[in-house]
Amino acid sequence: MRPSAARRRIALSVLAASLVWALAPLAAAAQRISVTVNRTEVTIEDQILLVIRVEGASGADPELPTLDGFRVTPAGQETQMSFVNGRSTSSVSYRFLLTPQRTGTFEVGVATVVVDGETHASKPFQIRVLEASERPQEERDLFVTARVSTTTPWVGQQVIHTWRFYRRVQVTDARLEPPAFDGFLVEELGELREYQATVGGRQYLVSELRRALFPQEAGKLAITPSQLTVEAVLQSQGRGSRSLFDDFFSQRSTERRVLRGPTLELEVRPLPPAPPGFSGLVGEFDIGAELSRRDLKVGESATFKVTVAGRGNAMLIGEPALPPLSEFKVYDDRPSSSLDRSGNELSGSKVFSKALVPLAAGELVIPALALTYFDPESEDYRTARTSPISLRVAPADGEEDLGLTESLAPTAGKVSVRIVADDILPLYKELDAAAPPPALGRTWALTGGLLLPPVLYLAVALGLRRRQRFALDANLRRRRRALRTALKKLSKLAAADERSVADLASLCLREFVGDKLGVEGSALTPAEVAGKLGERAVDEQLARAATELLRRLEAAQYGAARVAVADARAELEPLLRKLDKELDR
Amino acid sequence: MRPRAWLTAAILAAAGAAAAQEPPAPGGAAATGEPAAAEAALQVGPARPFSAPELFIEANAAYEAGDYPTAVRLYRSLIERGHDSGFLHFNLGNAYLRNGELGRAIAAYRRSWLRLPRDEDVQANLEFARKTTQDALAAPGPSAVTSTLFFWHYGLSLAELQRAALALNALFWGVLALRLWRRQSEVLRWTTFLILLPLIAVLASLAVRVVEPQRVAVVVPQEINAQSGPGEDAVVRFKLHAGSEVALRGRRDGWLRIALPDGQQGWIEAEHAEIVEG
Repeated sequence: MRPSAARRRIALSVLAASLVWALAPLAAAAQRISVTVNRTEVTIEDQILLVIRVEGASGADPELPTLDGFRVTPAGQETQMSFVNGRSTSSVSYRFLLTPQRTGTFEVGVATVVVDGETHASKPFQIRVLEASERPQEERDLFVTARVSTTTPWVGQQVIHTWRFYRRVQVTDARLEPPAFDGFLVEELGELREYQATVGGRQYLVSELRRALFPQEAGKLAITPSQLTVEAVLQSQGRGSRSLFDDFFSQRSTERRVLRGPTLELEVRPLPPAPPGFSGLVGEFDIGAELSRRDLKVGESATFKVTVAGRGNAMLIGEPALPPLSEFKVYDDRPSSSLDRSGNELSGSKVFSKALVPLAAGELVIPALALTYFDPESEDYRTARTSPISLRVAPADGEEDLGLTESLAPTAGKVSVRIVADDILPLYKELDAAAPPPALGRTWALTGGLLLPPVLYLAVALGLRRRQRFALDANLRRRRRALRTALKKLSKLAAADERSVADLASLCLREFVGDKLGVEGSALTPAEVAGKLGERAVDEQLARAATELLRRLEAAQYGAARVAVADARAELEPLLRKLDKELDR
Repeated sequence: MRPRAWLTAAILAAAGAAAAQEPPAPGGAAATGEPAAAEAALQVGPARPFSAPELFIEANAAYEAGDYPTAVRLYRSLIERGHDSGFLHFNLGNAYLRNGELGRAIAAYRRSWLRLPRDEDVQANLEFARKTTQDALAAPGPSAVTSTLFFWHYGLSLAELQRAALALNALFWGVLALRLWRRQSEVLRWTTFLILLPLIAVLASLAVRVVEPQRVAVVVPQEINAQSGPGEDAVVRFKLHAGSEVALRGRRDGWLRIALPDGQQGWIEAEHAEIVEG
């Protein structure tokens, strides 16, 4: 059944009332501002709820007290209003979570608020922050431990790191920052294990993580503490007898706890001077060899398997050096390996397979193989050996037959790639990084580059349009070409005989005027030319000069007077140019 | 003295000058003086100005030798000379990170990322730096859907957008000009439309980048207060730590109004943050 809205409100009211009741002993009475905390003595793992309550001053922001030694996280605010006997009172509570940053005694200073021009201040008080270890471990509901199997390992020796989280209360939102294993190769051993244990007569639920660590260098190495942040569930119930509604009234609140394990220091011992052929393995290892067939013929194959197995840094198992096998053809197969992380320590094996094909008949011997490793227990190097293997090889029946299929195991063990450390990628060193910036980055270059194409487009479009108009409009064409045509005709006067100079010059001028005005020019009389030029408001003096010249040329044309070519050109050319300008105006 | 020797002398003098100065004030105040010091120091020695490649090589050498403050100064001096390449910001980010300046490193990587948005090295180092920040805040940026829909806007740098705009613009007007001669060509008509669409997209993207760029403030000091208003008297709303990237919403009198991903806002002092725009 879902609780009704009314029941929810009741539940919330009870929660609010109980909170005020719980905080009341620490609150200063009859003050406009008060600062309260839920605990004044905590461990470094705890969090404190700090409430600043401002009464009757809506909108007045309080100034926080000095909170040295804590990280402050805002946790909301709430406004309360009440009406008693017709009087209304209001208060605002600002909540903050304080996370201790170090141990010691810290003073929560004075918080102030200004109401109606008057400054009100809270009373300072002290909070004591203890080391987590100052409280006996057995009395704690939550704690974390971390241990290593040895604190004086050899370089490469397997060290088992065991991290345990003990709890007697329910927790949620657990976030684990694992320790930093700088200087170690790390292999996780299995999944998180959970079991129950009794510590100091109290029952705990324990979560355990195990890792195999392999120190990579001699000297002092430290494993920094892990940090586990959890929300511990605090269960408190409403007063009165249990009833059907108890589930609705029971209050579940959480408290954030930060649990840190200890810092572990290890003194890693360097390995003694290594004998020749040392495999690099540290732990307890063995080597074995077997041959699939002891009786075979020349050209037939047998699978030779060398197995290296043991406890320790088994992921570093390499191929043992084979003695020279000059009487065989040797074909390598892919080695297969397996690592066992499920137990209490890391163990593993690697199998190196080869197909051996004898080249000669007779009694052949595969010599013994040796594996030298360092044994931390005896603190010395040890060598494990295989026994020599002898085989009988009969002469071949016919052609050599390399029966390789026997040796090729279909499944070769693969090991997933693990990232053991991370770092930034290196510098960029190409000199083009320091090349000058391109001009494109400048605003004017970009704007110019964007505007240039449309401007060019407009120019082309206008040019094209003009050309088309010119091609279609005969009058326009005549008008534009009038001066050029007239000057061309004028230049031909030199070749004309003296009598026709006046005729040609007159025709040149009349046709020019005709071309410019869009009429048939050769038929124009001086009077008509004067009239047309007058209509176009050509400068009076210029029009008169043109008319006068035409009359003189006519007189020369029909009379006895002669006009010299040079004179005609000298007079006509400037006149044509002036008229051209005037008519284009 | 050979040019190489002069250069070394100048850099040593720079280091000496820096050592002789008062210890830098916490926050951004120290950084503002750095380029000036580097420039001043670089003027010691010969009259010939040092070429950018020489400075770049020296900065790389300082980095490799573990002299990260000098590497930072030289990279910054190159950038302030106008050599604003993404690779320089990347190297500057590395130098900052090695020098323990997480906030400035993240700002430099973000600038590098704006210039080289598809460079995997930049993304890798930026992600690496972000892993070491204290606040669990998502960096301001587009959602996966937005960045997929507007892939050109987020996948191209400003310079690439400018080049694309110029090329598409020239192509568009060129095809339009061709149509003056071949008005009936359907191929040219469709080509015009096909070019017009990306041209509009790229120009709009450029306009957004220029008019309303994304502004991010990266926190520089180890811890700062974000207050309810500008000024010392305002209530502390929350705290931010080095390297946190928050959206910048406005500025007033040396204060920045910032917003967290959940919409919570606060004011921080401008000198406590590096601003990355783009």
